[in-house]
Amino acid sequence: MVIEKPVKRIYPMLYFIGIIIVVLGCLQLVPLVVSLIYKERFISSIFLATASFTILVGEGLMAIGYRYRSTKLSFGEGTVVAAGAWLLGTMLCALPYYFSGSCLSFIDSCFDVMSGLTTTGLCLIQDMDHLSNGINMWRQTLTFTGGQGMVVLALTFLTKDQSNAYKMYVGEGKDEKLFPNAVSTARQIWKISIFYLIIGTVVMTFAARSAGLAWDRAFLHGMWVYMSAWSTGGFAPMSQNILYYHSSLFELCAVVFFVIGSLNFALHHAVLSGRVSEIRKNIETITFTISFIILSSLVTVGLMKNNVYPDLLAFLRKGLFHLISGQTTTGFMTVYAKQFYYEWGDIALVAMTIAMLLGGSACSTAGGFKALRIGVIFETFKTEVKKLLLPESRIVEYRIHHIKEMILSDSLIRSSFLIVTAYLVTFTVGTLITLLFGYPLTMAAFESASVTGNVGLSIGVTSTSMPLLLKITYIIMMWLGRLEFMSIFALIAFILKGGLKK
Amino acid sequence: MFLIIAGCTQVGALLVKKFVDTGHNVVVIDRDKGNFDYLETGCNCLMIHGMPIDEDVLKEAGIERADALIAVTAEDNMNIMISQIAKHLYHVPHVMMQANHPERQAVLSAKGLHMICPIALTADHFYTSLLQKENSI
Amino acid sequence: MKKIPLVLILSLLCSNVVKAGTLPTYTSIELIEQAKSLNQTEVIYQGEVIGDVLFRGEQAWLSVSDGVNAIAVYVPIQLLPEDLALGRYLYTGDIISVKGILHRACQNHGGDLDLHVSYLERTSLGYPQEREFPEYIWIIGGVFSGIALIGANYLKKRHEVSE
Repeated sequence: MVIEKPVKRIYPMLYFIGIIIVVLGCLQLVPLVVSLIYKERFISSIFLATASFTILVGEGLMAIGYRYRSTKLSFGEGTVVAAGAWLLGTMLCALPYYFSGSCLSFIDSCFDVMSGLTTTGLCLIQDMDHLSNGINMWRQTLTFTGGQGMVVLALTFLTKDQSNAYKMYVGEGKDEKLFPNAVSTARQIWKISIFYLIIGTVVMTFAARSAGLAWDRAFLHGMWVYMSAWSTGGFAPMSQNILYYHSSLFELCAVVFFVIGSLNFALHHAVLSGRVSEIRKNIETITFTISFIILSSLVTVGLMKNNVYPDLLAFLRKGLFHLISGQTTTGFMTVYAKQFYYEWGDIALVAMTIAMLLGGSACSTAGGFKALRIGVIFETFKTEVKKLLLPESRIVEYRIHHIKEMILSDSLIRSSFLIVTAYLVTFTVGTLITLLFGYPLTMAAFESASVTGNVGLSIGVTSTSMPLLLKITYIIMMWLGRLEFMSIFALIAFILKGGLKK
Repeated sequence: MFLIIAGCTQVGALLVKKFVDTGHNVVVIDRDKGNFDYLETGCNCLMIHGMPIDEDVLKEAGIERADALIAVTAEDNMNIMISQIAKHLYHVPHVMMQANHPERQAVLSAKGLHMICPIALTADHFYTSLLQKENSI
Repeated sequence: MKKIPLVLILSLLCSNVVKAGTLPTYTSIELIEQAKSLNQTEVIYQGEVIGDVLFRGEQAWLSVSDGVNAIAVYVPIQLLPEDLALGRYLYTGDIISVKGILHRACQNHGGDLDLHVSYLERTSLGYPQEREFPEYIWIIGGVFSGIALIGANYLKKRHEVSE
């Protein structure tokens, strides 16, 4: 019997990374079409070149690993595929930004791509108000793909060799099974997304039209803002973000869509297949609602104390809008970044920071700790206290309701605590590094929470002039936050181990 | 196809692997958690730990939308019961089961259940292949 | 009697305002960062009109960018020039200079930071940006897509062989 050398194991992984890269290359055809329609010759030529180059790279990887494509991957290798595809994919997707001159440097381009793919929504792009339609389409395509997941997208095209699908699916920070098969699950996720894309684009187009845009601009802006809202991304076509539209109707529609987007795909699936009562019973929606109520009262107190907004409408459109935008990890803004710092006051900013860290639902497009984990941790504390009051010999099983009744098992508790701790560590390190570059604490904490939770609200730290090291730190933090740590650690371990064994 | 396999026995595990590799939705139910070790790690299917004749378990496995069910637990009576539940209560289009006693064939066929007996199959296979060899000599 | 100097100072200030131009011109950064102290005061701001004109009855929203931030400007439509050119891709919009009252959190507009304009002047006209774009990228793109197609074909063939 021949024992396989460890270096051989990389081939099947390259094959699957190749598939994902090819899919990313094909995605660049979307902005290519848009830029051709709007006769943006230069932008079209760039997208043609980068799309075919990306596809070429993907095909190369597929060809290298082709012979080994039906090799079974281990769990760790599956997650390494996901993390590796994200790393390579980010660099390839940054090419259009870089060559079109939309970003000043390659690192800036990578920052913007990572921000889009992780649905963060911080941007370093230059002169956004004169941006071509093609590049804007590319930003939103990245957000929309990243929200559902690029691995999830690639899996939908996988017809054969599906035995490795689940391992890669898990590597991208989603573990909910809508169907027993990960490929069917991936297809269902995309079906749900496309279903909402059609509804959302129509609604947002009308909202943008009523805000005063011409029909064709209303359609593009409506579609882009919708794509960003659903993915809880936060990119908007203009530098003023949502403030640009000056319309409460437009803001309301956006809120509805990003709240829907922050819900668990399993919940969507349950509701769309007729189990509406699931919304009321689900531990995630309950956790989200309770934490939102607590935080909104904090924000209210903070804003009232500083007398920031003159009336209730203004408070709703500024205070609550940003809180919900933060907690769903969307990052749409209707104020200027610096206004947070100069006007909001510490209490409101701390509440915002907490909201951004808590985040939306697991297995959604949202980031942060995720409501499921908060719910699990809270329930764990509750049951531990309950256990103290019961006779020692009594054994009780505690359950939570998430899609179905689940036992509050030790492994569930452990993974919840582990991931939340990892988020907290990342947040703390990010805050510290930001502090080291001389930003004040509230700013550092706010921006760091925004980056860790893939939110995208900015208090003014993120700009092209920020130090290079900070840009790289934020890129890594966004990546860690989106893939939920484990797959990236697996990738790092894989690279180190592969290097050592030689 | 949406398929439920009751019993993660060696036969069950092999079935799961075959169907998963060809891209079907497979749910496998077993009352013994240890039996899931027969499956590969990170199997692209849904594993449900529970009694396969429990209606709640079957519902969790999605029997209401299942296209097929195969009962391959170690016990004949259990398999019969699962098949009957699936066929008569949930009207699953294709129900198949394994039974170890060949003599049950007649009764089960009369009840409309599709039964496969490994013992009978093995015996038949030996018999025919030996006869073929003898003929060719 | 104490009020007399105050009235004097005020009237002096007012006469200054009427003269216009003596008001300081602010950048968008100053407007945002000093919004608290500048709230409800008259300021002058200058920048390029970008994006769209959003009409609201007798008034309209303009976005005026000075290159760093775009500030929302609320203008009565009779002040708008007929042929206002808007900044888009490859087009620099008209540069306008506006005088108006800054609201840090405008009560009429849901708390937006905006500038209610009483005077608008176009300082320079918009123009299409003349930029030379290299055409050879099409050739690179063509070559790459050619190779990519060949590669796709190769993978497809290999796939069929292994079937």
